[in-house]
Amino acid sequence: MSELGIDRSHQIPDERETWRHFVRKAMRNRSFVIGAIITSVILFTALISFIWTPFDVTKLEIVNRLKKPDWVYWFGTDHFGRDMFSMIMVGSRNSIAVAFVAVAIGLAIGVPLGTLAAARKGIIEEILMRFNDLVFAFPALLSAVMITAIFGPGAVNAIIAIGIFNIPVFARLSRSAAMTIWPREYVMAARVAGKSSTRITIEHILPNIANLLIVQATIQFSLGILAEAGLSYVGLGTQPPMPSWGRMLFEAQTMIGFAPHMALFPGIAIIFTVLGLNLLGDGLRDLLDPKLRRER
Amino acid sequence: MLSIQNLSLDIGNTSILKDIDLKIEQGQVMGLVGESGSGKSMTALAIMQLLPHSSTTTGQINFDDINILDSDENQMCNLRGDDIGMVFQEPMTALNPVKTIGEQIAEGIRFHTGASGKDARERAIEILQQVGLDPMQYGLDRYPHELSGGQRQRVVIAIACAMQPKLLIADEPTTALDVTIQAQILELLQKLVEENNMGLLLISHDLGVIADTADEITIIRSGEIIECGPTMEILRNQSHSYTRQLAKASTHVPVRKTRPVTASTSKKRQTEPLLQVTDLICEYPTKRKSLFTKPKPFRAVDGVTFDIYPGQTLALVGESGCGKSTLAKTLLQVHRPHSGEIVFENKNLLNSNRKEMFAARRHMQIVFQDPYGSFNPRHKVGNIVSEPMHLVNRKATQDELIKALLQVGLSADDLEKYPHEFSGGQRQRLAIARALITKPRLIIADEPVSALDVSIRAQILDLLNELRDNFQISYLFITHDLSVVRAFCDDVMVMNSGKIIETGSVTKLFDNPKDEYTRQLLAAAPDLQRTLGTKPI
Amino acid sequence: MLYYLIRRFTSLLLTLALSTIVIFMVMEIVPGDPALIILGIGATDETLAALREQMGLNLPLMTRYLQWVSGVLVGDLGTSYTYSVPVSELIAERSIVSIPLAIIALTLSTIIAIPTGILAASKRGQIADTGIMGLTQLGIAIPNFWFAMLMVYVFAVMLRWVPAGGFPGWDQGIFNALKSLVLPAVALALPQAAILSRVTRSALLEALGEDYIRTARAKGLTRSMVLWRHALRDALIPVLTIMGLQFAFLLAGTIIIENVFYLPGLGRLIFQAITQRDLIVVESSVVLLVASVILINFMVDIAYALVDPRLQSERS
Repeated sequence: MSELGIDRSHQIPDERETWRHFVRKAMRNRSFVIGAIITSVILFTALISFIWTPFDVTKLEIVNRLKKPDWVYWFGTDHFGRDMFSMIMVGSRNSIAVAFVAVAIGLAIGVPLGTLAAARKGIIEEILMRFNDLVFAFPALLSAVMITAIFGPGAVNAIIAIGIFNIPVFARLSRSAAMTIWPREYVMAARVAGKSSTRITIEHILPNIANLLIVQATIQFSLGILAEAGLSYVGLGTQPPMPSWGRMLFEAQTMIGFAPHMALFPGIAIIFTVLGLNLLGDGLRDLLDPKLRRER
Repeated sequence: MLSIQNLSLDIGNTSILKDIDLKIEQGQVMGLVGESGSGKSMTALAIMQLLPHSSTTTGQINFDDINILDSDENQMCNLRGDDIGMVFQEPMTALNPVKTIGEQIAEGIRFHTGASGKDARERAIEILQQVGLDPMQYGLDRYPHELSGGQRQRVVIAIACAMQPKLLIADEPTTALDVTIQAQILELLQKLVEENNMGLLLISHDLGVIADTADEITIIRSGEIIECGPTMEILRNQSHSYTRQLAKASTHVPVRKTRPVTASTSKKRQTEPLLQVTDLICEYPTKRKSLFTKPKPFRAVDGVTFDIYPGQTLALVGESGCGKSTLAKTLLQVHRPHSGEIVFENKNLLNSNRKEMFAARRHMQIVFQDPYGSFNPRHKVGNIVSEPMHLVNRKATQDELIKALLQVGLSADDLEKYPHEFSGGQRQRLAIARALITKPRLIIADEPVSALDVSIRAQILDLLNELRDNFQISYLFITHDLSVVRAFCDDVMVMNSGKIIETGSVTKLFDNPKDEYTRQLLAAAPDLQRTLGTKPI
Repeated sequence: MLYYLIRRFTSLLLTLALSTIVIFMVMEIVPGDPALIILGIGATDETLAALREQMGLNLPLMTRYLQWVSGVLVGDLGTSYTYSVPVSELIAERSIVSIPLAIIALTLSTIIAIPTGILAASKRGQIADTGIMGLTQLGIAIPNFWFAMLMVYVFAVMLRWVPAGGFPGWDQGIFNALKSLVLPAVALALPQAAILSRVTRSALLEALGEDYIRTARAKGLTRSMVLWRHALRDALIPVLTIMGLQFAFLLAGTIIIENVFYLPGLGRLIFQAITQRDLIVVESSVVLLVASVILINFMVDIAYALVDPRLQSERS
């Protein structure tokens, strides 16, 4: 045992890295940095809108209607004379809230289902897969339209509709990811120690699939923002007088000929947000997924 | 024919190879030996110019009169597969799963000769025959997934030798294969060397394989050549200290302080067996193949009966797929057997409920093969080592954890570390510490040293030996490596397609095998000492 | 292969059956009485009851479900409450707008996405790759209806090349009809093309990292030969999967895009029927959409089996 020092020399880097190392690597990842900055800007704007907006978005000033962008109204005004910039600020709250809760629904229901299916196999897995097939057979927007049509339009029902589609996405991902972890020897070691599959899932499976789930969550978040905008655009999402990006685009449509700025800025807001989230997701995937990190 | 001079290679900022010199003549087998990370594969890839993107090479590689490092991509494409062929380690992934083997062999022929599809196929059939695959049985239209590992490796060799190259590079061509298949593939490579008068660069970590096959040997460590020359001369003289260290480690026998415990001595002394396995049968359901017939379950373990006595080390030997891992999992109650009995410390494990069974089983632990995959990368050492204590429903105390770590030669400071902070050998110590935490009487060791370099392997064997001396631990030692069995075990069982075909003490069974399969296995296993004793210089 | 297909087919039938039940149940809990909708608020209780009886609304749930499903199977989809024409006629009339639209969009997205994906993968890390990937990032982030509005502004309002909306019908000449489908198809195809291009690239890069690529390189094949002959076929599997899923997205996308362009298609039909509580139309057209999604996925499964020999042989 005296030679023990010998094999300490070549240490192998592994999936797990120290926090400081991670931050240093993250700073070098362009997608991550840009994505994180954009996302923070959007979040910050949403927070600010609670305490301050340039103008009151509920006040209609018909005199000032359809103003082109200038130094007072940065993004111009709409046909009721409301300040577009203020509306976009308040609308960001709405988009973020809907997408966030929808992702939370998907995670909260999908991940337990998926990991359970991977752990138990057999009939539970079969049922889950059929359920997945079923939900995937209904195009997301179609079922969202149906759900909001039944329960009435509104932000809450939009959240439910988008959330339901997130469930199989996370169920499928967590099942397939969990299935790659189950054959690992450390899981076998836990089984040998007599641990139940639920316990193994909590102690060994979840921590090791968390990376993938985080990445997918950012992607679903951005898809949620697009879906909310779509639903509000056809009048089934957020209802007036609460401003929402999709709704603003709907109102802009009839005025596209003489007030194109009304369509331009909400659209750019959506693109900016979704782009930021996607870049963040890409960056996180590069940083967190050891499989995609390899180069050849 | 091939001459490498002062070859240095950097990938990024790390230096991989330093001043490598190597010469291979036609008809010559050059063995390149080194431990993992020594740069032996990179040497091969440098010759092929298939190195990763960020690498920079200096020095000279001359093949006949072609300067390889100065050649452009087009010239290299003409060289690769035509004058230089290469065979890789992992036959399971080296072939394209969506193309027939015929297409894959003919592809290179057509590229280099411009032959028509028909001519190339005819040539492919000839080559298949040459590598020992009967084209009637393994036709060109077969897909890789329809072939076994050994057969796939033959196809890979066929692809590499399709143009009768002057030089063949084989990078660990048999490491992923069973010993009997390994012997066949090595024989095939030697035959091809003779028939085509080609040079062979055989890369391996196994001195036994090289001693059997190679005319010349080059020993490499951390990117530097240690020694080179005629194989037998180098290995017999062992003039360089590293060569000596390697050879010693490959044939290392731990010094045992206590007397060996075999089944026959235990029976004589009328000791109670620690573990009794009777008529164990394990089955796996198979995939349904047709709508109308029920699939027949696959019998992985078929009527296995054996005992393990306190302090005995019983080897379980067999090739991959013979059922040894299933047997281990069944003993550990991770798999439910179809029928049979498992009695451990006089308790029947199979007819007690889950809780009782696990409590009874606390004295049976396992050590796995892969030192990298057997720990959760997100858990600290303390958590990892404590895990088996779940069997007795409590956490290990700090004292118990430290004691277990000290017993395997790690230190108390290691408790707060993550597995990635350890090297391969240290991780295997960690795995043993995890097994020791419940003070086991039987450790099932599933290929515990197969993934380790020889020098580390020797250290781990010493550790296991020390534990057996100090605590009277019994081992069920599962392995495919007969040299380890001879060095470490008391008794041996040979398993083939689910059945135990021969059992006996190591000395008796190795010297006088009764069963034909055992005999084949023994003959096929490379044995450095035997080769050094018999082969002329 | 036969067994694989039979298994996929049974799962198709099962999913189909389940989805009819889900759709039927959803329509059951939708608030609003169809009889009331047809007759209007001024109807008396007696006439309402009579109409209910005539429509079979008083029959047990199970009976009504079976009646509906068997009707769907023989092509009898009932009569629309609001238009008073057979639903099958309504759907047929709308399909001749939506189906060409979806096909044009899918074709467009594929012919944009696959070549750019291959180009990006083969020039990995070079300017072409970075440029294409940047554009696809943008393409994914753009809401298709916003892009549609933008195109309307540029091509219809400013340049007046195409109509801003509406559909003249196929009898007004194929050219005119196609002209009004161009913008909607581009709007639908663009985000899908961006996604598909990224998937193609990453699937190709994944395949290029496999061990057998090294074997092929060791044979002497050039980098591009390896890409075309080996990696591409392997990469087809994820690409096909995404194309199958995209069909569903395209169908759903028509709901919004047809609204932007005032196209009389299936999506707009469903949307209008929902707002008018014309449940029988919603029920039947949703079933048809879902069925076509399931069918497309089954076709993707067949394509898998054709691409991957491991699925063809029963032995695997």
